Amino acid sequence: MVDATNGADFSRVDVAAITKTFKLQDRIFFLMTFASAALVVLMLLAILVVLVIDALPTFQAYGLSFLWGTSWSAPTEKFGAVPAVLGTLISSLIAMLIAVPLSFGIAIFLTELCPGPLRRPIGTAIELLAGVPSIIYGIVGLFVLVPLMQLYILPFLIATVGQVPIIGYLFQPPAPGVGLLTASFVLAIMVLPFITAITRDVFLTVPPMLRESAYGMGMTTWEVARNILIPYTRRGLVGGIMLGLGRALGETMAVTFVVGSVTRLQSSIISPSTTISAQIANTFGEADGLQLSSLIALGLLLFILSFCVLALAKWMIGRSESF
Amino acid sequence: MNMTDMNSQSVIQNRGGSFGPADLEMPVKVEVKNLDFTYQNGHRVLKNVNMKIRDKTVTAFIGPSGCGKSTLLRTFNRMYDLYPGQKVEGEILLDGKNILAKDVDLNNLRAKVGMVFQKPTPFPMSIYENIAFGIRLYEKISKSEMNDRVEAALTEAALWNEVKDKINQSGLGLSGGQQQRLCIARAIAVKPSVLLLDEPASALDPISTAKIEELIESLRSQYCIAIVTHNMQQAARTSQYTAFMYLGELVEFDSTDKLFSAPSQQRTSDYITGRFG
Repeated sequence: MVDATNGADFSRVDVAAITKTFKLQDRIFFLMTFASAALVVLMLLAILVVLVIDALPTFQAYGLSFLWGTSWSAPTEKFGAVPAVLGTLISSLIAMLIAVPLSFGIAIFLTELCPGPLRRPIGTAIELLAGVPSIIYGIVGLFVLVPLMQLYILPFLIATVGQVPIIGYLFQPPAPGVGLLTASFVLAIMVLPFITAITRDVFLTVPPMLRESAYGMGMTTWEVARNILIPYTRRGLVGGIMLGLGRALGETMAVTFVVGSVTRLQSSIISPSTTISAQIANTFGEADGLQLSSLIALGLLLFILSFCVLALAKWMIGRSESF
Repeated sequence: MNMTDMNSQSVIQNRGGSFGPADLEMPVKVEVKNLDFTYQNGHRVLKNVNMKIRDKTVTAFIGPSGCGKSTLLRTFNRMYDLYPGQKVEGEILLDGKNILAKDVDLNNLRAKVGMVFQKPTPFPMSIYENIAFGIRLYEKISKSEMNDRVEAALTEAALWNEVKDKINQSGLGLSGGQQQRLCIARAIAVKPSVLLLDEPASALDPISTAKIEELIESLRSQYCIAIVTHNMQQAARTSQYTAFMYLGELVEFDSTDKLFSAPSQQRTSDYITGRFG
């Protein structure tokens, strides 16, 4: 049999049959890889659907007022999202305020100033820090950081900035050690290695010649970092920060240990508070009915929040593309 | 009109070639004494280099890859300081002062010794800021003075007319040749006394290259210029002095005319006639 397309003499092999087999193989392979890819989308949709369905009773009971409800009381069945959502946002924000400058500092030190022999050990330490399970951060936070906060840091804050008008409201007792600020510190340490690793990697993408020409103009390391490295790698840096933020928003275990789990709207950031994930982790076991549904509604809000952060990151990266 | 006359009249032909004996007698700006340079891995790339580079003159460094010509250039602004482990011995005197001494302020040195690299390296900012930024590092001047300085630098680098309408756009939007002239403008804006050009045209097309060469010729009257080049014609066209380096040694250093027409060393002659390298 001769294959019509190339006219060669393949009379002893069944070219058509082989071609057919190949085509079938390709088809199967395509379907398998496509199924794997489709699975991701399906999972995402499934999670969303489940969250929406289970959260529905809450929205039927309270309508959208769930979103601005400020109390969370099981006996009176009054559930509002504000304390937990606010706790999540504030703790993540403070964590980023601490972690981002630190990460940039570490990355600049590692790429620009670090003596050769130290570079690897410090880099490895940062990667190991990223691999520490969050329960460990929780334990260390509870047994080491919390007493430190309770005995030294928080009393100091209350005695100093706590006395300042207006911002003093942020630093009011009770301050038993566990609280929003403590959670923020733990979160900052947790996201630090992620942001640092990405920042270091994008700094390394700056062409050596560009760095040299900046130093060649007589810039100091600070000026090179501030005017060359950071503007040049802006997109990567935004990505790194957003990745860290995403992690901070959703972090459950470590935060649950140290946040204090008090669901009440308050101005003080050093008092026991809660976050979405800590609220869910703490009350999920004994919750049922409307409270369970409200917890799932909180989860839905966290899902949307994380999605928005990611979308914002993409948008910002796209915007800074045309420098 | 014979060939010699043409040479002395045509600007293009004689860029760099048209210098009288006076040009060769300019005062010494940079003096290199017994310079040795060793990399981290112990590889010695410069061996006992001695040379005198004259002010308001273009000096070309030629030689095959790895001969140490770029390394030599990079000692003049101590760029090697960025890389711990690279070691230099000997002296380099800039206006009589040893710039290799430990107490030399690198930022001030680099203000005096500007450098342009193989590839254009505009900073991630606007064309205006690319120039103004360097000036601001050393001088506090008013907005209008700054505008004048930016325009002057761009004019000197023969770029002003091409960019004056988009001065606030990104420097990265320019063509390669324009970017390289922007880098030269940036280097001369801080009023250096020495200008180091490390293969400034190697990444450019022939037309851009010609523009850069014209620019070098026009800058010669104000700066001490050292240029590393792979291109022997370029060395012959742009420079008054040429240094031929091979395996870390300075083989021959003479006026460009002499080095290319009657080299005293066999290795120089072999290299410029294309027998190796």
